[in-house]
Amino acid sequence: MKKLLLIIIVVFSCTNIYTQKEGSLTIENIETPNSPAFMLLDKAPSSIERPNSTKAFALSLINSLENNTELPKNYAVEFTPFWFFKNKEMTALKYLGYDKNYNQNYFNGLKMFSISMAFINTPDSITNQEISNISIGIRANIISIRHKEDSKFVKKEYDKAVKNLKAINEGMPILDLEAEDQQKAKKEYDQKLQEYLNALDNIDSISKLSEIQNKRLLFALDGAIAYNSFFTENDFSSNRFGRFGAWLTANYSYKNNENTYLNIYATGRYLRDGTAIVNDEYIRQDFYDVGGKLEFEYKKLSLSYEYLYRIADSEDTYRSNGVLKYKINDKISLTGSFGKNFGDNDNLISLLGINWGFLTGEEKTVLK
Amino acid sequence: MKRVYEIGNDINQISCAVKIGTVGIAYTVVYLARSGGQWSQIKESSTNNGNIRSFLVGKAIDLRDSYLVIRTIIDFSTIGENLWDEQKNNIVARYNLKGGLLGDQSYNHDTDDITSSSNGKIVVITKPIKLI
Repeated sequence: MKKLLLIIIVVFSCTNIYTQKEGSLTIENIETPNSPAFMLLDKAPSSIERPNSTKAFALSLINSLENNTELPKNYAVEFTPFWFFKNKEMTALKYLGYDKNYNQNYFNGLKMFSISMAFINTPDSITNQEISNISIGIRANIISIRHKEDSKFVKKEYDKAVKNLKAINEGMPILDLEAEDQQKAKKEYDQKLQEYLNALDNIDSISKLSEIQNKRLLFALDGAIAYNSFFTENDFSSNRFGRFGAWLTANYSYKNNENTYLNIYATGRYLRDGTAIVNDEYIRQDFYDVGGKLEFEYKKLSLSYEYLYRIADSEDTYRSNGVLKYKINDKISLTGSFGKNFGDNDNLISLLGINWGFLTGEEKTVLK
Repeated sequence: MKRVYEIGNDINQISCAVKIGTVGIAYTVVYLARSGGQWSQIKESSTNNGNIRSFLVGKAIDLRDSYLVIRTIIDFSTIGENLWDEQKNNIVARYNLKGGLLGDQSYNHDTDDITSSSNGKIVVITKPIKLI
């Protein structure tokens, strides 16, 4: 109950930011946590992820399974600036990553970059003091190559949609431009047009173009960069550099059939860490992480194992963990992760990221 | 909102162009509405987008007191349902007229030119421009 109360408070506070643009925040804007701001601090369920959100705004909540009696202390917000600005050169095909001849633009994902900010509280492993972390991150898809059949799918569905628009246009009412009372004529036209368009709502969507966003890419190269500062003893002046990281992830997706995929990831990451204490002094260390992930997807379930080897100034270490994801529906999914994190101390990964829409089932709850 | 473009009463050629910016699939049709309620379609967009390159509408003397009605229909089936409503506010529609007494003139669409289906998937922009 306490958790639910906190979630409501957090969602409401975010609504204040979001309503400046949109007027409402729906529960479907809450996502499982894989933003770079979380990943930088090794607090994400997985260290190897692809940017998968096309949402304008998303909120992530995360809690450790060990602390399941406490309120969640870690939050991240992520937004995609693309959705907040007008673009006079934008077309549907450009947005989908194709030119007018249906040739794919491999760098199309760059414009959909997202910015994330995370607030993470962790206890210091030595003093057990509470450390407040704030991190900011940017991620983007740098290269994306789709399966050949996807181009055919886009062409077919796009042509169908244009044909449909022509047919819609033919049945539209006509505005009486010669009426003496122009205001009344406009009102009547708007009303007839509204009724005509509402009738179209009952017809099943003829075009299925949005499905292309959910189709797995044949190959993708993604990049992310993140920076973190931390505070101790709840004191603003204690602000210190925490971490800086930049990483690239390549992903190849083997499609067995529409429901079964085998995804292979390879990643490389540079990390500068300033959180370690030696002789009561914070020191800075450089890490280079290399590793990979094998993911098996079947329908709504995905199982993966990832391994990252860290080359450090002092002693090399590794992270090894398994991730289980279950997509309850298009808007709701559940992510769990268990394994060993980097280092020898405090290295248990036991995370559960819940899309809190789970609490409301299929219901669409609008908080205003 | 109705707009007015002064074309004069000479043999000068009037041209029109339409530029649409949206992530949705757009289709634009330009009608010439003459007195008597007669609407004739004079141009439509290509299949690639809702844009119409500059084209000749006719001589000013023949067009006087008629209307150009530019209608753009946008289908947001390219994006998720959660974005339909907000992307309606990010549509760019620019209408350019040339050759009249006002010279090169650009108009944007107005809020009251927009009508959308109740779920927000289909959006229609109707812009009437009176030629005087």
